[in-house]
Amino acid sequence: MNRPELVARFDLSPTGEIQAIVRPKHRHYRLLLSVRGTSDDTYAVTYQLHESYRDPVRESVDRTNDFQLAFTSYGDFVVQAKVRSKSGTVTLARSLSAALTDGHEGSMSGPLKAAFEEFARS
Amino acid sequence: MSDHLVRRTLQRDVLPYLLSARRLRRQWFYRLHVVFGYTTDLIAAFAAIGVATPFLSLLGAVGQPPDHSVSPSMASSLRTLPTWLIYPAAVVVVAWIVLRVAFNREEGQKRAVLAKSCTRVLHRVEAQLADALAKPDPMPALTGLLETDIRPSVDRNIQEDAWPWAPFAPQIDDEVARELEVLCKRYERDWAPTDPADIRLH
Repeated sequence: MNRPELVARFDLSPTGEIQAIVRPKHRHYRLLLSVRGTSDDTYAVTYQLHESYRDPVRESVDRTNDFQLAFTSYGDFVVQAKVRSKSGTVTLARSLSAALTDGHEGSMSGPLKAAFEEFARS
Repeated sequence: MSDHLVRRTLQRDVLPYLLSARRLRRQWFYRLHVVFGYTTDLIAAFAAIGVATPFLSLLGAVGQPPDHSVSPSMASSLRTLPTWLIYPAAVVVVAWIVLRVAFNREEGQKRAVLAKSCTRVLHRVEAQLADALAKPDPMPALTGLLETDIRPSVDRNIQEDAWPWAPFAPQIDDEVARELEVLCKRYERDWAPTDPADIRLH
């Protein structure tokens, strides 16, 4: 049985621009977290984000987009996902930068690569 | 204040669980558990005070004088019923047996007990919700209720087939919207304003 995989992508506009909220101290990139390869009986994924978010625990129940969650972050941290299914709960954890690398399948170049490098440094 | 974080959390996470839990009481196993619970207790109580056997005798007496040479039973009582009552009574007895068998085979008892426990937990959460929403920043309390009470209880019930949805009951949005308006009208003015942007603070 395949183990589900936590991945992330930079959210891009229809014209391919990286979406972000720019604040004086940081550029908060808009990211899309999701879990690939969940079993058919999975009904929700609960994401545990960095403790400094006002709502660090968020849930997605939409399996049509791999339980996608949109949020913003200016830098790397370890994100946790509880994959909740009828057969039990599986907990995944990995750094956002690793999830981004897998999410973009190693095809980052140009502005995307620059954004990733800035993100991974923060 | 249309998109306050507390409002979003209530709408998206908390209320769909609480309102789905209210519908657990309408599930077949929950209703049958109540019916079987009451009837079993009543029959046991009647038997204990010696009313059951006279009742069967009385039932038999509706059709014809009872035969005191044999002890009364449901089968003998059915035989002595007036003709017009035999088929309805047989249907009731067969339906009762089928329901009992289905209830046992589908683990109705276990599911009903779990569902009852879950509704109690979520009912308690509803009471705690008022305290949480009365604070200037209800988010820590809401997150705590979701993580320690609501989700673990619902997950266990889903895994044991005692929560039939994945994870919210269907067509619950209107009910959620109505409940949300009631709560927001009562508490929203107490909530501290927050940055509408969803950003990491540090």
